[in-house]
Amino acid sequence: MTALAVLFLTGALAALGGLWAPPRAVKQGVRLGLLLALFLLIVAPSQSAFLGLFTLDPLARGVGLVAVLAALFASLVGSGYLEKTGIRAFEYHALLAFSAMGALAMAATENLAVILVGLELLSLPLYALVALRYDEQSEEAALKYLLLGAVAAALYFYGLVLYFGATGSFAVGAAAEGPLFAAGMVLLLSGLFFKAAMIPFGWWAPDVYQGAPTPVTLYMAAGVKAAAFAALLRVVVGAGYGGVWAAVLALAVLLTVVYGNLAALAQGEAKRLLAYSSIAHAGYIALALFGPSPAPAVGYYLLAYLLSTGLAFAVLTQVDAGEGVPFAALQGLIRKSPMLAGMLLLALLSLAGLPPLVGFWGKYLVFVEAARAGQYALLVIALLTAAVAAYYYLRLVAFAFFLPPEREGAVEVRPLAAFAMGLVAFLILALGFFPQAVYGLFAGS
Amino acid sequence: MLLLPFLAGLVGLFLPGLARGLGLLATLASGLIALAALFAPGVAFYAERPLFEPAGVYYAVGLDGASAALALTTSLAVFLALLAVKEVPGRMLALGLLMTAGLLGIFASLDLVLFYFFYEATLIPSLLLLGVYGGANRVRALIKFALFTLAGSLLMLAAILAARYYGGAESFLLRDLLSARPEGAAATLAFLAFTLAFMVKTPLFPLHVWLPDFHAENHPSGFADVMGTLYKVGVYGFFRFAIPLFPAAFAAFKPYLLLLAAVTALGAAWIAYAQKDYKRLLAYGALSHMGVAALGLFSGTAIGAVGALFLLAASALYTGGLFLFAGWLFARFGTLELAPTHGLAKHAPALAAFGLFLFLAMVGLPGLAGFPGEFLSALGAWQASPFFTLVAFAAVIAAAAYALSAYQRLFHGPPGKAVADLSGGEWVYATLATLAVAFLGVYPKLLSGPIHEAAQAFVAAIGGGK
Amino acid sequence: MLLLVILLPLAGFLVLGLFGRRFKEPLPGVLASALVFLSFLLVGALLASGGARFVLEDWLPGIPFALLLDPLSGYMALVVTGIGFLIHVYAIGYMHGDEGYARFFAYFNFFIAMMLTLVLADSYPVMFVGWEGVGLASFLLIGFWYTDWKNAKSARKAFITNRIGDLGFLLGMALLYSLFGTLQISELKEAVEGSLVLPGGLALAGLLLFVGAVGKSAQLPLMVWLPDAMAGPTPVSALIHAATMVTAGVYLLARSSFLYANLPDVSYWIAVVGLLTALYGALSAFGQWDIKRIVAYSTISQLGYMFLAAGVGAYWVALFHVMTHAFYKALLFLASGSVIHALGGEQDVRKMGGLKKHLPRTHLHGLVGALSLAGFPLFAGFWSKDAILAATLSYPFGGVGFYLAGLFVAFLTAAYAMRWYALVFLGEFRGQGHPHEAPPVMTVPNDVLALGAVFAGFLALPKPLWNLIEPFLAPALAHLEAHEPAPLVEWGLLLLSAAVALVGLYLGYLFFRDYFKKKVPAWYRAFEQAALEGFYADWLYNTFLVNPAKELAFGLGLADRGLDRAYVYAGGGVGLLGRILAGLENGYLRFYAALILAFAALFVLWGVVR
Repeated sequence: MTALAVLFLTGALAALGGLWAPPRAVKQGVRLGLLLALFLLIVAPSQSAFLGLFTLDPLARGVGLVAVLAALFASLVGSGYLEKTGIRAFEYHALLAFSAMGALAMAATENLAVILVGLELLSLPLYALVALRYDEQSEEAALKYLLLGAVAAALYFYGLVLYFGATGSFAVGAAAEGPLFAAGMVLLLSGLFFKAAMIPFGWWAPDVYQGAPTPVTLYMAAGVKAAAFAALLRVVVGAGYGGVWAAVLALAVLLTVVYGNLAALAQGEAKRLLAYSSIAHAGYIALALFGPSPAPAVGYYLLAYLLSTGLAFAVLTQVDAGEGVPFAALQGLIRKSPMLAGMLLLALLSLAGLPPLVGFWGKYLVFVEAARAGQYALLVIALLTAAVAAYYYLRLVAFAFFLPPEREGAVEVRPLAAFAMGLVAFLILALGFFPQAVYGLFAGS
Repeated sequence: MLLLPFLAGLVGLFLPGLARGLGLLATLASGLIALAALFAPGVAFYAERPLFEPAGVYYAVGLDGASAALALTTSLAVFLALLAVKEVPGRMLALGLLMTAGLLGIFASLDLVLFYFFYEATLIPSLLLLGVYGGANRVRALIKFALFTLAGSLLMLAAILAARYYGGAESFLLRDLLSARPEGAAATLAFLAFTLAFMVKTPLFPLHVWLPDFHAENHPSGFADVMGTLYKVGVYGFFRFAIPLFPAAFAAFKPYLLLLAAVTALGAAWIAYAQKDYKRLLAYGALSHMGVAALGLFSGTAIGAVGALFLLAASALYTGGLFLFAGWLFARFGTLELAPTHGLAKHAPALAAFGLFLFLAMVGLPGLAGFPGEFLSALGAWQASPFFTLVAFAAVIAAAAYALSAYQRLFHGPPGKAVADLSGGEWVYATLATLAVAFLGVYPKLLSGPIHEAAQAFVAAIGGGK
Repeated sequence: MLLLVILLPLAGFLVLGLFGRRFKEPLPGVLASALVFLSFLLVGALLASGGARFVLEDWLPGIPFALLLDPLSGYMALVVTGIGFLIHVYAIGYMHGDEGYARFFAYFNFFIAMMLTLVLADSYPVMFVGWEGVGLASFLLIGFWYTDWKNAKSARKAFITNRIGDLGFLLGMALLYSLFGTLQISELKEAVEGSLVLPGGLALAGLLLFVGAVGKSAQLPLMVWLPDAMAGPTPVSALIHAATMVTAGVYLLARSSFLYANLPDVSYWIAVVGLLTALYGALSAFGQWDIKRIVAYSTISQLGYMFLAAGVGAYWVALFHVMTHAFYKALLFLASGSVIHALGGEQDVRKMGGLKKHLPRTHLHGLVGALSLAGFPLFAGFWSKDAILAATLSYPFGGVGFYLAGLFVAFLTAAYAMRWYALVFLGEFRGQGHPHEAPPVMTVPNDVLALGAVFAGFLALPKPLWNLIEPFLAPALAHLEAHEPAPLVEWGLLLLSAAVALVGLYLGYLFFRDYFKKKVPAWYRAFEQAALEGFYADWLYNTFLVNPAKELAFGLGLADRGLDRAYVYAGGGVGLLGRILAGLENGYLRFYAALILAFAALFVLWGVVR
């Protein structure tokens, strides 16, 4: 509750303060605010407020943590990129705070209507963030995201209406049967699949990820997905697995892992590649939704994914000068900056799910959930596509490590960003060896 | 034991200068620990701590006879390899040490997820060794290697999960899983998944194609090849996990597995003869050995299993030695093509003697380390299938052909270009390696006794006879 | 103590191998010879004290490292170390001045150690250790002068051919193990003799072990390596490829006599193979021009005789022949060596002749050796060969056919022995230079061997005279009841074979006395040519086995690369699929929106209809 308030105040103050305070101060203020929210989320007891419309349970806590962390990380590593590309600084940070607030709101409720509110609260700042670079690509991406987002929101809204019609309630888990209810569920899921970037609704992701400013992509990949999955989880778990939506979910998982991983093979630009990888990861996370206790697995995976993809995008952010990151730009990174190369390696291998990195445990947990649910067919397909995924991650590694650079020249990293990235890298490795350390945050205790 | 090489590797990564010294100390220590475990009855140094308790994963390690034997030769092989190589980057050695830690973890793990953890974790340094220090076509070799390994091991992960949730075991601890083994179709599928994974890592035909490129492209010093040789843990995986967990499925697929092992053993030895690149030749030769080991293991007999593991343990020493030997040749000629010169025995008699010794060990000459494993494998394999034994062991003829012709092409014939004989450091390695290989050949009891103990447990687990 | 017998020469190998180059000649030779002599004495002493045994339990799981000195192994060990010692001494002179002097004696000692391991083993795996060890020694010594590709190739050929036999041995062990669960020979013996019904696989096991023996003893069809093995220094040919190693196959059969005595069918084939080999070797010997190759083919032939004896069940006779053969064949080789030595390396008999004058001592050695080989009455070879021929009639697995064929080979043997002698020592000297007699260090061992070649046969004479060997070996061999012919018949046969030998010698003398001056019939020229090529055995092997195998190796290598390609293409296929899928991302907003709506509609429809 307080965390939500802190996030709101942070955003609001930053927006107002930006009028007179120097951007530097706003930036630091936002970071402090996010840090405070993070702290509050960790220490706050489970609670409920606004007549149960805001429910801070372990899931909400975990997802909120991931979203806020994503915002904080994006804020910390983005400064250099902003300067390079001439983006005015303070809106960036303020919008991040607002969006994180939306993510938390969306995650911390069991009311479908509030989810919609959170969804919009999350998305609107994002549309602006995507457009922030003011060039053609950036604006095209923003427009696509906005329009398709509207379609998805409409689907969700329509589903909400049908759901209400069938059950007479906005709360998740309201029991009902019949075609009306089924249609409502399916539409609700469709809207959320969109946000989670799952096929056949996540078509926007590659274009938008590529066009958006790189640090924004970082936040989008991790934060938005987190919030979307929190909502998905509540909707699916609440409704049980009897209906057609379970089949729809299975189909979506299948399409997502296959499409994401295979299409990624054909990519030649790192951000776009990671967009496809993000689609694929959404598929893996969704595997856990079948399991008997999906919340900790989903939360843990999201954290692992945030750390890994966040670090990968953070590295790309340092390399990117506003024109995207074709593979060739990564060539010889090991010589330009061994530190960045090492971090990229960690991040990519963690994304590939190799132990001893945190990504392995995330995958492990969701696979366990799928196994416990007996979804072995999906599991095997997911694992096979994971092997395919290893190919494109390794190819990226190969570019960074084993090929000579096209142009000489060092890559500069700001100390604070370097510190944040180092911390994340450390977490990726440390959680790989001691996976239990943060598990309590997601399991509830 | 695990920690020492890991720490040494980690330090070495950042302080390359220290890698060798620390590595020597660490592998010496882990070798001594393994030696102690070898003499202890049952499972030595057992430790069990929750690693990820809610998920049923434990850090459960211990060394029984089989794993102690493998841990011992692994430590020894790395120790010797560290002595043998010179003028290699310290970071490379550090990566090797990280790999050593992973390998020791593989052998010591008594929890299936932990095993998987080490199994895949070892891949990373291995890939880096190849990628950073490899030859011109290394990226291709690397991707092939990684994809084969991962495609197999990811399926294995599914099988690991299935093993627990179909059998209803409490955790992924091996003993829990063994007391609640899954049965029926699920077990069969799971076994197949394990089989694929371990076939890649044994390797067995037709999933071996990554191997020749892997060796051909690795750093010419041979250090990385030693590590790669050690990483061939498929046979151990079958022995420790796949077969005991799914005995019924194993029994059903036994004939096919024997067939593949026999084909690998003979085919690889045959192909080795036609190779012109020294490392490729060794790669195929080693592959043939693994086929023999697999044949021994798949016989399902205690004696065959002892043979298989003995072969696995011993080949780490002499196959590794041959790769390092290749490194020495490379240092002298700058190429790994066979027959860049001939008549070397004239200029470098000690080098020639050492090379011959290693080749003979590889050929399985009795009295050297290669023989006990091969022989016991044959004894076991015959009980399972005389025909496949005949096929597989026709490889001993082919082995003589490729090994001797490779040796003679270099060392016999009219003396060619003069090269230096063994240097001081090389003498140290050659002496120690010779002692180790000869000792295991003359007194195999050191390893075969403890392994036999473990092999009996293995046979008991699959409900076999003697 | 028993272990020490092996360790002494092994120590010699290690010392000479590591530090030999620092020793001055003739120290390595003297040291090596002394060690072998010590082993000889030790074996004698242990044998006199009633045998010995050494066991290390669980050398391999369930398989002890067991050595046993019983009459059989003692007999062989004495032959090995005794003859071995003499040849060592000879080599001190022969190898004089060679660059690899110390290396040579290191290998020689290694050979003796391995041969003793083979002989003393009481467990097939241990025997296999020695078995392969002597193979290695043979490889090393054939290729001793490695700078010549030809020698290296011969060495490789020997090793690989032997390996084929070794495979048989290995599989035979595997079969025995699966039948009886042990590989210790004394236990197997008890098991076989104690069981009323023999397991079905026993015949196969016997056959497989026999394959091993065939390889090691250069029997048909694995005889091709032995003539080429003459590429090594002559003492090597004498020690390894005549007196000791090649008889290991015979020893294996004798050791396993408890098996073969129960396997008449297998024994029959052993006899047949032995006989054919004897014939093949004898015929091929007629065509050779290399002084050593003649003797080599005669070795093949004589080994065939031993197999014949073992095949018919007369194991002690086979071993008797092993001993007499060791004397006269070592003598022949060493005499050849002296000749080669005298002629500065010349080995072609067409450039010899008339050496009787130049090398009187060596001539005497050669004559004794040749006569003993030919079976000249009262010489050692006469008694043992006659024992074999008699055994083909008296032992249960024998037959008249064997006898007659054996007799024919005996005739051939006498003739080619005379050919060798006549071409080398009679007539006029056809070469250049001035041959000089060898130093005493080489002639004295030959004197001893010559004594053996003359008198060794008196150890076992036909009834009613004394026979020391049969009762001595009896406890260690399987006993097959021979139906003794009447002494009169036996002595009659003896006279017959004496006559055959004399006729053979005489005809040979007539024919080869002035061979290069007379006109030789065309059919003989053709025969000679075919015999020179060993009746094209090498050609057959190369055409139908070796070359196809090599080609297949390259073919398989290509196939393997093809498999590799296939995987790459499969991977490429996945990549292509990926590109097609990625084509869905065409960047058109309206396309995405349409997709989203279409799928949503589809799902809803699905949900509602269901």
